[in-house]
Amino acid sequence: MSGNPSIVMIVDDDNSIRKSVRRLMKSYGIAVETFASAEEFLGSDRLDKTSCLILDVHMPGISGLELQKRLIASGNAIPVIFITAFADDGARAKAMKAGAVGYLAKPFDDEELLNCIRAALYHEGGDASESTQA
Amino acid sequence: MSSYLSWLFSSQEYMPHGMCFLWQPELIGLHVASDSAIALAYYSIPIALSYFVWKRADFAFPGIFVLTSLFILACGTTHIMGVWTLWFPDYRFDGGIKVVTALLSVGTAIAIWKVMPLALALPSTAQLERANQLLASEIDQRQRAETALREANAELERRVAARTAELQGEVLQRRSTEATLRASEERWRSMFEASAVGIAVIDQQDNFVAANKAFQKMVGYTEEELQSLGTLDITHEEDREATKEMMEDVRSGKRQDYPTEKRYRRKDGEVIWVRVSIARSLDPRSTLPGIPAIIEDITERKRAEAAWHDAREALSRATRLTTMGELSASIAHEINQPLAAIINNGNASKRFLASSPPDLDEVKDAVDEIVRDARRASEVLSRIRAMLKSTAPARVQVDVNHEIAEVLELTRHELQRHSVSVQTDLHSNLPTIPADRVQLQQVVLNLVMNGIDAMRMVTDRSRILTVRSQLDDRDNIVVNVADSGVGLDPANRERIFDTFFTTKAEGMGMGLAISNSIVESHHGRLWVEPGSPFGAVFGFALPMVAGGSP
Repeated sequence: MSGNPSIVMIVDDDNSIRKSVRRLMKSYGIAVETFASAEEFLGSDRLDKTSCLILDVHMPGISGLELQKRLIASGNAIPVIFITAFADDGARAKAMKAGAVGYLAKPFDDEELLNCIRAALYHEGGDASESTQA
Repeated sequence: MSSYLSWLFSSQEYMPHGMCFLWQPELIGLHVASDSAIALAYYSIPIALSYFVWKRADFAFPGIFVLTSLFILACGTTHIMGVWTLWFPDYRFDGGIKVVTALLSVGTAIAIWKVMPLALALPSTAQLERANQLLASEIDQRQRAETALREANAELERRVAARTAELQGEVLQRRSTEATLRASEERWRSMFEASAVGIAVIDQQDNFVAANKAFQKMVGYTEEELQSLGTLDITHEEDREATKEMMEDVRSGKRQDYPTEKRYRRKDGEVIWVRVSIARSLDPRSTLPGIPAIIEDITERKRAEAAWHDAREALSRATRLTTMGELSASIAHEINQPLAAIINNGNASKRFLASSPPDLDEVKDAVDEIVRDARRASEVLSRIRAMLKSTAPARVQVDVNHEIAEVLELTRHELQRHSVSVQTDLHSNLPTIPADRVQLQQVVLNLVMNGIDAMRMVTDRSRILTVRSQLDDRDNIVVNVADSGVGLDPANRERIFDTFFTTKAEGMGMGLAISNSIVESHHGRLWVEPGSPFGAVFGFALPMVAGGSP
């Protein structure tokens, strides 16, 4: 993986969230691509390029949890950070049990998200998160 | 002359005429018989004529008849003289007779010719016959006319008699009617006085003419005081305009009756609610001096109604709060989304500003989004605040489609969370209707939440909530909320709108009951029918023009 810039993928049906997370990542110098739905992400050819997935829990169509399940089932061990605006302890437990790196309630602290991303990238390729910083 | 007459009658020495016949008895007999027969016949004719003239006094020309009679008489005498001179030779006298006869015959002849034109002018028998016939038919006609006249007279007399009898009957009836009227008047008078309900008589200028005890007690004025007051004087200031308008409508014929509920201000200043009924229409041509009005004191009922309305409103609000409580997680989601975006953009901006050189373009975009997201959060809050605030119900002109959209926004995440997709089919040209915005949203919200609930157990098909608005053929706005859920148990269909009836484990059984009462207070109707091929369709219809206040 070294040499290849790590790309963080954001899947959220809310346009404001997608744009704001993208801007936040940009301010940290992290490369980001966004998708409005799980279907759009699965249909893209970006799965292999994904070093970390920021995933909304509740989305129309395939939900975040369902996408996590499918990725695991298809052998894609992409680290997943869930973000949700809906307090649901059951969903949180399910996500963490399935191996999620983080489960953040919107609105979340930027440091919190950054820590999760670092952990994910470290977990994924052993690269220090700082290496992705600008 | 006398000497000639004496010569005429003196005896002469002539031979009797019989000597000329040589006294032959056959010849003498022949002359005697013939002359005698002629003389007799001649003498009889004047008698017959005289008799005729005497009997027929109307006969024309009687003089001719007399002259002719004398002439024939004279002729007869000449024949007598023919017999006489056979034996006695009085030829001179015989000549004298002939002279007389000659004079008479000449006179008669002249007279006959003179009379001839007149005689010819006399109507003939045929003419007389015709005249007679004409006369007879004229007489016949006259007789018939007389008969008809007699009959007409008889008919007239009969009619006069009948009308006289009728009039007598009418007079009797009128007397009896007057007696009945007097009795009726007494009866009404006693009812008027004894009535527990207020009765007042109002003249065409809306002034009180009379008022019974109950009405005097109700308004606190005596009858004398009321007689110097008009109905508007004791009407509550705020109800005067409406009362005036209504009375004008009644007078102009726009309204036939006048049942109304309004407020009076008593003499002591206290306000009371009354229902005024005027049974008869206020006909401006009526000669009746007063119009009776029945006035009931409905203050107690109004108080109870107000209390009931307050209680219903409180219950409605409690139900609304409960629903909002159920929605709180979804609502929090709707606020957290923009908040999260705002915080992200804020943090990113801080970093872009701290970098060297600061990336101001990025910051500018971030700030734009911050403003937009803050607005979005604010909109969600105001949507919620509208549903939670406890203001009194207020009717304003409401766009039903807008209220539906508001509810769908409010429940957007709740729907999404339950994997319900929404299809809307909103009539693009709906007129606004007078309605309470919050209450209307509450009804739609309740139907949407019920729809979500009904589809909770559905896993084998799409969960689709269809919201439709349309205008029906009677200009009602009809809103339908259809789900693809489990549908209704037909046994529950009748009870579904009852208070405290619920099929849900956590339900209070208030939602549909309150929705029903809200729709009814808008003069509308709420119903449910089975969906096709599954699910249920709730619908409500609201009239475009509301009646009076409920």
